[in-house]
Amino acid sequence: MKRSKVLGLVLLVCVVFTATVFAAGQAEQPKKITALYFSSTYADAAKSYVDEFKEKTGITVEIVEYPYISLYERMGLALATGDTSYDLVTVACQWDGEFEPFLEDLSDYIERDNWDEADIMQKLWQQSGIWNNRIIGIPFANTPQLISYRTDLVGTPPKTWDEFFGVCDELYDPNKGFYPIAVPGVKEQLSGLWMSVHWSLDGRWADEDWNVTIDAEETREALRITKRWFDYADPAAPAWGLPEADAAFLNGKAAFCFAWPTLGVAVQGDNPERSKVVDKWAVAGFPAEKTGVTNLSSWDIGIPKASKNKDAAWEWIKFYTSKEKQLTNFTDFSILPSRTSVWENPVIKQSKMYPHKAISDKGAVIWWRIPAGTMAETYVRDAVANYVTGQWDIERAVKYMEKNFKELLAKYPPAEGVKNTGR
Amino acid sequence: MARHNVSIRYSKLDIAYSWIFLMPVIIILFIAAFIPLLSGLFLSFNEYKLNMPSIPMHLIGLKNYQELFKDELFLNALRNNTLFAVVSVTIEMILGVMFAMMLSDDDKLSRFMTTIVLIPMVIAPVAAGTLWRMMLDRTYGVLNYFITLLGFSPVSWLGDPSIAIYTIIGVDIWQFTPYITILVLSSIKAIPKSLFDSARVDGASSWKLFSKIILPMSSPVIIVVMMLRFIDAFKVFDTVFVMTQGGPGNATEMLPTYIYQQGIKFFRVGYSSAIAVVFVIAMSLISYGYNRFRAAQLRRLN
Repeated sequence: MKRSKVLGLVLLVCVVFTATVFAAGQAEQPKKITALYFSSTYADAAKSYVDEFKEKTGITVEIVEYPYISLYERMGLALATGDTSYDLVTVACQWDGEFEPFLEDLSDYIERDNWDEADIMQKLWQQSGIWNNRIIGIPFANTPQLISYRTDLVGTPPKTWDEFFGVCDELYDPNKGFYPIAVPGVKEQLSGLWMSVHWSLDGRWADEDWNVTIDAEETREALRITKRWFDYADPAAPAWGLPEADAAFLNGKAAFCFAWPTLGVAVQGDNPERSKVVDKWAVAGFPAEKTGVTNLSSWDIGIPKASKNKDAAWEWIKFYTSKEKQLTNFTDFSILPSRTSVWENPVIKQSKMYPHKAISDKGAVIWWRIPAGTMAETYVRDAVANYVTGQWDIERAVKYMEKNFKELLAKYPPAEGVKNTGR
Repeated sequence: MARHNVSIRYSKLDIAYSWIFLMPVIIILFIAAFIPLLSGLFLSFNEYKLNMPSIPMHLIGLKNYQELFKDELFLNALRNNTLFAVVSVTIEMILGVMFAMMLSDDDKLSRFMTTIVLIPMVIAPVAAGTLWRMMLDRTYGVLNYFITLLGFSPVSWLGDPSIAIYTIIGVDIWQFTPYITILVLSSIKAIPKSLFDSARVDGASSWKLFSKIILPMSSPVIIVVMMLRFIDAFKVFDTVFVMTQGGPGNATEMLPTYIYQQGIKFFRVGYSSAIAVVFVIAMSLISYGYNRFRAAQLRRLN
C-alpha cells in the first residue's frame, strides 16, 4: 500500500513536471506563420525578406510555394475546407471572387493601424483585392500584359494590327529560323493574349448586368488576329509555354515576344550570358486599336478566415507591401509596384519597364472575378485554342463561348449587387 | 481425359481463421475504397460547387449524368482516351512479347539487356514527360536535329493537333513496353524446359514453339498484364499534363485530365463525381471482361 502510494506520487510529480515544461515551451515558442506563394519572383522576393522580418518582429515566416498551375487547387482546397495550414495566401486577382467567402475582411486592420491605403493604386485595387465592397487582399504585383520587341529590328512599336503584321511580313525568314513572333501557344497563355486583343478592340464578354455579349464582330476579329499570329510564329508555338517563347526571343530568333516580360525578358534580357539581345529590346503595349485596354495580371495578399495567426499575418502584409519592399521587389525581382508613390521613384521611371505604368493607367482588367470565373476562362481557352489550331471554325468557337457563358451565369450567378466591372 | 472435382471440407476453426486474416484487408478496403466510392456516388446526384457556400449542396437526380453525355469536351476526352488506350496497349503488347522472346535466353547478354530495357520503366512519368517534351521540341529538340540531318523538315511533334496524340502514345509505348516485357519474360521462364525439349525432338520449328507452347502457356499472364495496362492507360495523367496539358486545343485531352479540371479547377464536386462513377463502372466492366477471358483461357489450358 505504502509502495503504491509512493509510486502514485512519483507519477503525479512526473505528470506535473511534463505539463509545466510543455506549457513553458508553448509560451516561449516564437510566433510562426505560413504563407502560400506563387513560386516565381514573388516567392523569391518573400524568401529574401524573411530574416529581416524576423529580426524586426520576432515572427518567423515560412514561405510555401507552388507553380501557378497547382497553386490554385492547393489554395482552393485549403480555403474551401477550412484548412488552418496557411496564415497568408497570395491570390491572383482573377481568383478574388472565387475565394472571397473564405478570406478575412482587412478593413478593420487597415483602420486600426491607420495604414496608408491611399497610396495603393485605386483602380488596380478595385480589380485586385477588393470584391463586392470587401477588402480581401492588398495588391503587390501589378502587371498589365505587354509585349517585348526588338528595338533594332522594329523601331517604333506598331500602333495597329495592320502595321504589326506589315512588320512581320518584312522580317519573316523561316529559312534562317527567324519567326517574327514568339508566342506561348499553350491554352492558358493564349487565352489571356486573346483577351488583350479582344478588349483592345472594345470587345466584351458581357455588359455591366451580366448579359452575355460575346457573339459580336469584335470577338471574331480578335480570334482572326490571334490565329494570324501563328502564320509568323515557329510551327511548334502551339505547344510552347512561357520558357520556350522567352528562349526564342532571347536567342535572337524573334522580333516580338508575347510572354509576360516581367517573368522572362526583363529578368534575363540584359544578361549577356543568357541573352543575345542585350540592349536591343524594350516593352510596349499591344497595338491599341480602339481602347488600349489589356489583360491584367495582379496578385494580392490576404488572410484566410481559418488562420489562427491573423495579427502576425497582417504584420507581414504591411511589411511585404510597404514602399521600401515594393521598390526592392522591382529592382531585385522585376515585380511591378501597386503603389503610386513607388511608380514615381526615379529608378522605376527611368527603367525599361516604365511603359507598364501608362498601360496600367488605361485600365488593364482581368476576366470575370466571380465564383465561376475560372470556368468562364476555361471556356475561352478551349474556344481560342481549338480555333487557332484549326480544330474548330470561328462560328463554333463563338457559339461555344456564348452557350457556356449563359449556362454558367444561370447556374452559378454572381452575388446580388455584383456588377461586371471588367469586360 | 476425366476431370476430378475435389472438394475440400474446412473446419469451423479454419473458416474462422480465414476471416480473421481477411478482416484487416476488408476493413482497409471498406474505409479506403468503398466509403469514398459510395460517397462519390452520392455526390454525383447532387449539385455541389465547393467554392460557393452561398449555393449549398442540393439533390438534382440524374442531371449530372444527362449533362455528361451532352458535354462535347467529355465525349472528345473519351474518344481520345479510347484511342490512346487501344493503340498504345496493342503496340506495347506486341513489342513486349517480342522483346520477352528475344530476352528469354539465359545468357549474359540477355541478362544485361533485360537490365537496360528496364530503364524507361523506372523513370517517373513526370520526369519522362519533361525529358520527352524537351527532346521533341521542334527547334531545339534532339529528335528533330537528327531528322534534319537526314534531310527532312523538322516535325512539330506536340504543336500539331493531328500528331500530338500519337506522340504521347509513342512516349507511353517507350515507357511501358518494358513492364510487359518483364512480366511476360517471367512467365516464359516458368514454362518447364522439358516441353521445349520434347517439341524439339518432334522437330517443331521456332514458330511452332512460340504459337503452340509459349503463347498458350503465357496467355493467362498476358491477359492480366493487358488488363492492367489497359486500365492504366485510361488513367494516364502525368505524361499528358506535363507534355501538352491536353492541347493543342483539346487534341490530347483525356478523361483523367478532364475529371481533374471539373473537380479540382472548377470545384464542381457533383459533376466530377458523376464522371468518376461512369469511369469506375466502365473500368469494372472491362476488368470483368478480361477476367472472364482469362478464366476461359485457364480452363482451356487445364
